[in-house]
Amino acid sequence: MNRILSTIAAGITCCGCALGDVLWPAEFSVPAGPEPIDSTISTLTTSFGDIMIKGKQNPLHPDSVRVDLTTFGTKNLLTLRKNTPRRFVSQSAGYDFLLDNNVGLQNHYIDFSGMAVQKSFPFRFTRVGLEWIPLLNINAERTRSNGRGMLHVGPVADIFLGDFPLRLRGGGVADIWHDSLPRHLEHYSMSHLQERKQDLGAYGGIGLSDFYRPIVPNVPLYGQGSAYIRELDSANVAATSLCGLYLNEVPTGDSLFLYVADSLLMGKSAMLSGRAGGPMQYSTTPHRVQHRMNAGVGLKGVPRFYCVPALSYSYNVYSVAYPSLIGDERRSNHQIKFLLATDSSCMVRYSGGIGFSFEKDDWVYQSSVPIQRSSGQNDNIDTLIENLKDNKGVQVEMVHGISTYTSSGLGGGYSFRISSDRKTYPNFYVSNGDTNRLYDDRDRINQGHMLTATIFSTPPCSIKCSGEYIKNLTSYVRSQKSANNLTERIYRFTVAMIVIPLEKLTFLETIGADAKVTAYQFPSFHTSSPPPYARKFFSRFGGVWFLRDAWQVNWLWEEVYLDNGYWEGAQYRDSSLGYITTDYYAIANKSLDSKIEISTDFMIKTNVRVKAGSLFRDIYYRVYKNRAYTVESFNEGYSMTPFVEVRGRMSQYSSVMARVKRYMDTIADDYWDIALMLSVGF
Amino acid sequence: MPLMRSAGAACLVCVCACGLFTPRDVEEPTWPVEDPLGFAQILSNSESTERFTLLDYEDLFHEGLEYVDPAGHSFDKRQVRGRLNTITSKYPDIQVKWEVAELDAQEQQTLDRSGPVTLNTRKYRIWRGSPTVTVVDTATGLADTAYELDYRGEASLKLLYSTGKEAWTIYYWRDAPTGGLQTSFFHPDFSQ
Repeated sequence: MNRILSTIAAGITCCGCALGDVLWPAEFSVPAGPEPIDSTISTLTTSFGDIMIKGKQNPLHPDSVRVDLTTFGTKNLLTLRKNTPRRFVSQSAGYDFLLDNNVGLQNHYIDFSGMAVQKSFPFRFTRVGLEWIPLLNINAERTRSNGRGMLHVGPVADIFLGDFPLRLRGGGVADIWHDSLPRHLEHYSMSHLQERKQDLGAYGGIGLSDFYRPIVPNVPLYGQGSAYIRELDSANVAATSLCGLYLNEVPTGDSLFLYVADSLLMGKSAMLSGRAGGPMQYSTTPHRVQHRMNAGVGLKGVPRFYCVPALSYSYNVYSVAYPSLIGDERRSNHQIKFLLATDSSCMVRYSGGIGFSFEKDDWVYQSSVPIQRSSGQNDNIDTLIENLKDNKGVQVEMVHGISTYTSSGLGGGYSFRISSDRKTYPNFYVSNGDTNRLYDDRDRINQGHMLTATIFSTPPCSIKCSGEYIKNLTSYVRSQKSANNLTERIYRFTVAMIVIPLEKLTFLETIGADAKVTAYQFPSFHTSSPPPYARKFFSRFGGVWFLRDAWQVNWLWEEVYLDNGYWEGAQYRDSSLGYITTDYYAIANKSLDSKIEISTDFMIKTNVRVKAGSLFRDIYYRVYKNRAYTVESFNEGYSMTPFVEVRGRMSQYSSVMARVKRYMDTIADDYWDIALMLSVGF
Repeated sequence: MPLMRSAGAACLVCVCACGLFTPRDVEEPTWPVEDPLGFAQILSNSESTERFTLLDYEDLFHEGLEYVDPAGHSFDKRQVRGRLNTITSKYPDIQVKWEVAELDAQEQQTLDRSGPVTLNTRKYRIWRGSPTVTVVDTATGLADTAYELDYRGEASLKLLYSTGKEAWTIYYWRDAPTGGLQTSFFHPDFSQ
């Protein structure tokens, strides 16, 4: 189904098919291996994205148009690579540029990393070479610029113990920065280079395995480890990481997964920092010790009694400690998940699961914190305040889905999802007789029901219906915040009819309605701000016509009515307005959004695809002001957006994508929206 | 199949009966909805007719919030909320004022709800305690009072309309301190 039809039919979803898959941990899968390095292929990739050029007409001089480049981004990477039986050489040249005139920001990033390795030297199972990693980052804001460069240079050595690779690396590192550069490149001079600040040091590292192949042949055990240390006067750092994955089939036929990962980081990061209107400074993060550990076990069963079960448990812990500051934190989490699905032989398909997560967030975990504030010079107020942020959380999520369809396409399904997120802040301290604590203890409970049915399915026509009810509850426990408690209810209903009168012609009409209702648990605290209320009614009529095998025409006509405002119920009303006795929906604004999109899509030869079309749009927007609905321009009038997009594959190693849109409006500024991506291998 | 259905129904009933999806009993409110750091002023102290309707900071900040400091380091919603909790706990009487930085900057009255909206730069001032010194600008005659705790800065903000909550949320916040500071008072790593 093409893009337009898929957009129309987005509200009609199949339920009960793979709901349980969303709960299965992502760690229990071996990542795809690295792309093989061709011996002679190098690549150039260039992309220009998010280009926004706005043309603005000067009302005093209508013949003149000022063009402003609002946003622009480009990423470019040229990689030259030569891989022979004796040598491997790689040199990259990367340049990323980001311009955002909305916030007055320019950013340049340059990377000239490379490596040269002599294979089978000095032994058959070793390789020796050199690596270099020069990086440069220049940040320009409205009134000042700063730059920072870092260079790693040093030897590398690989030792292959069978298929198990071991890499050693080390060398010198230089950190150079300048905190007061000119805004424009043409004003740079040698004096700026002489005024630079710098820091010199050394680094070393070791890497074990690569996680894409078993550590031991014929044993399904994958692992990877690394260690890195850098000695810089201002930014010493040491880091280690280790991870392993075991997956195997047990004698019963079920699949067993075991995963563990651990990482440790000690030291500082260095960066430029500054303040608006003042000079920039080179500063570092505080010295910290950061540790992460993840471990998990999973079991996926073979089909039994028409069911496929799965079970998983994982434990995660993260801690960061600052030896010279208050701010150490430790977060731990236990997760248990149980999934169940019917196998493919069942006429009635079911899938579902339930997951539990128990979290604990412990601030200032390295010391025992009292509950009484000290006095005088030993005031411990900062420690007590940080300790208030301790919290415990329990999340439970349950999903169920069931569906059945006949061979003729009739049938339906039902899905149910409910989740609970509970947080508790147990800590407090006493100061001058007052008890101080956070009041963010809260429960968030979300539930959703969706029912879909195909009520008619006889060629060339089929009709599908769907209804959805969502209820979201936010409930703060303590009196200081319980005034924020609210319940949101969302109602959705959609009917879609698909008609295929000819093999190459399809029509799709969808109509639907949405409503969102909010209610506060304690209305008396919202007399001046009643709860929001919103409604939407829409109709979408579209289709596709395949003129030829490689040429199609698409169209879409969409009308969307949207209003939102507030529910003026009696419980939210100021009692002085006694003359108003009925509840009503106070519509604050309403709009009718009309859209027509026509496009054609065709192939030129077999490797160039062209899409061209135009979008026509009008928004009729009214706002309630001074007891009447007045038309607001919304800063837009009638608009037309023609576009052309070309995608081509020139050869096995080159492809290009170009897209040009022109936004034309009777009121707002016109602008160009351009995107270009080029990828070349040679 | 009947066995599976029965087992599934029984599990569902048992789980729901355990009260896992039932909220706890709540206390009657004693305080109205609060915005101690004055974020509502970001829109109310400008020409915009839009307003933040959800002022609970859990709802006001978008889940994908990105807070960026002048060095380009970014922080997420959890880190920012942690700092805001520290500020409001340590300084319950703190005052904040937000206003448009450039007085002649034209502010949009209505904001496009289809995507992120960039506001004109806002400047803010945070203060509490007793005044320490008052300085009078001889050129303009304006007086400026400094306080025991007194921090200023400028913020570039992007807002995103949340259709799920039918409310504006803060989606991007680029913060820069003014005065003699390396990091902003709102910065997650701020320390005196």
